[in-house]
Amino acid sequence: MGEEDNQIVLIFVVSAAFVVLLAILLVLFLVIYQKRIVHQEIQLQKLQNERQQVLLKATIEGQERERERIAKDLHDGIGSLLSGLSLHLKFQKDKEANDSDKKEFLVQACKLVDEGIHNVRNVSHNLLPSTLEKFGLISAIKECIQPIDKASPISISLEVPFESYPIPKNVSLGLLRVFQELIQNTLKHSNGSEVIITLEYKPKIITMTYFDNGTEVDRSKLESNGIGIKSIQSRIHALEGSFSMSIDNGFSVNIEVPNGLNT
Amino acid sequence: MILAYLALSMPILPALLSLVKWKQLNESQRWFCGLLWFIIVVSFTGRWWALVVMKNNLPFFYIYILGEFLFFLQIFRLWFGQSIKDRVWIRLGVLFSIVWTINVFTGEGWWAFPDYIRALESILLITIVIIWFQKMLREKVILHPYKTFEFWISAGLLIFLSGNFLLFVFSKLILNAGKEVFLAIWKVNAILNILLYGMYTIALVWVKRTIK
Repeated sequence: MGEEDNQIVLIFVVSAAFVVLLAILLVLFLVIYQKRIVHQEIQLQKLQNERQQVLLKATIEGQERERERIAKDLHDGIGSLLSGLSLHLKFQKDKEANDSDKKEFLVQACKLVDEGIHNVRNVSHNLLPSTLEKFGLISAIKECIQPIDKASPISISLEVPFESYPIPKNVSLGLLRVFQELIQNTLKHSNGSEVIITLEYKPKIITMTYFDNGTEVDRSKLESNGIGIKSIQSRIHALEGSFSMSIDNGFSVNIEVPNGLNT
Repeated sequence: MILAYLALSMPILPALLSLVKWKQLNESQRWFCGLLWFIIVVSFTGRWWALVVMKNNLPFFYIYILGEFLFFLQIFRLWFGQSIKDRVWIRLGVLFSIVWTINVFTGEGWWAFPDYIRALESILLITIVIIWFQKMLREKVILHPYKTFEFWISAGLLIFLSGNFLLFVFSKLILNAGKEVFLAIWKVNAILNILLYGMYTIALVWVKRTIK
């Protein structure tokens, strides 16, 4: 090749190398830029999630505070008022002659007032489960089970570990509320005859499994996440736990929540 | 000579890999596998033609250009999905085929070096690749683009086509400069070819089983 040919080759090779270099730089820039913006997007998403988590926690805490206030108001206000009324009625009833119409009327009135006191106490108790604070989650769940076990044909069994440890109030209250929601779902929508609740206290997490052998569970309601399921999900999310459910041979829910002590 | 044969046989590597990974490939990747085998068949038949029948095997190059372009249109159509309507791809394919047919059946026809048609193919594919990268940036979904099949194919095409662009645009000038000059410059094409199929191979390495 002559000098001129060499120059042509050189010019071409250098130009091609330059263009290739530009293309490589463009690709590298794309990779770095893409990584940066996606990273920023992930960070933003993380921040939004954290904010949502805080909001969710605040909402649930607010809800619980409101329930506590209503429970106290019921107990101390209407509850005391009804107790006073009951005493007055009983006193009046004792003064009346045994076979008078007025006595019969007062007996009926006493019964109704007592029933009212009982109902107010139940509502207040459901709103603020004092057993939870005094004796813990297991006792609170047992207390919830007792009246249902007596009044409905559903057999409810609770399997608890031999060894349990105290858990923060927000965790135990969250799990109790979830249990209450699940049992309400079973009573309203399931044709099952048996419910099994299992609690497991692992070193860092608490697992609650709920099984109901009802087979006529409305799948569409579960798949579209009804209000009950959404409420459970929100509570578990607020506790930074995980939630899964399945509807094979019954309805089962598996919940895992960090115990908040060792983490 | 070694470089030329290496460049010629380079497509075998990703083509074999695509067959090995066939079950893991999605639709666009299977089309890509089809493209690789098409390239192998055309290239080797062209080589055989040049050695046995007659020296000018440029008609195979023309077939290669049309086939490659149409295969890539189909692959990009699948990648872009709904964001670019099918009729755009169809129009692009038809228009390119018309230009290709005119180029093949007029003047020197397909016995002449396919400079303009290859340059046109390069411009169109580079544009599509840039739009693809733009889409990737806009969607902000992939954190590590270099771990995806699509990235390596697009990057390979961008580097190969832009590097070769001058060669095809100024091919008449290079050919007029003499055979020695042309062969010396053609080495650049061989190196870029090796680079391209190397990147195709990396793309196929990143293919993961699709969970349905």
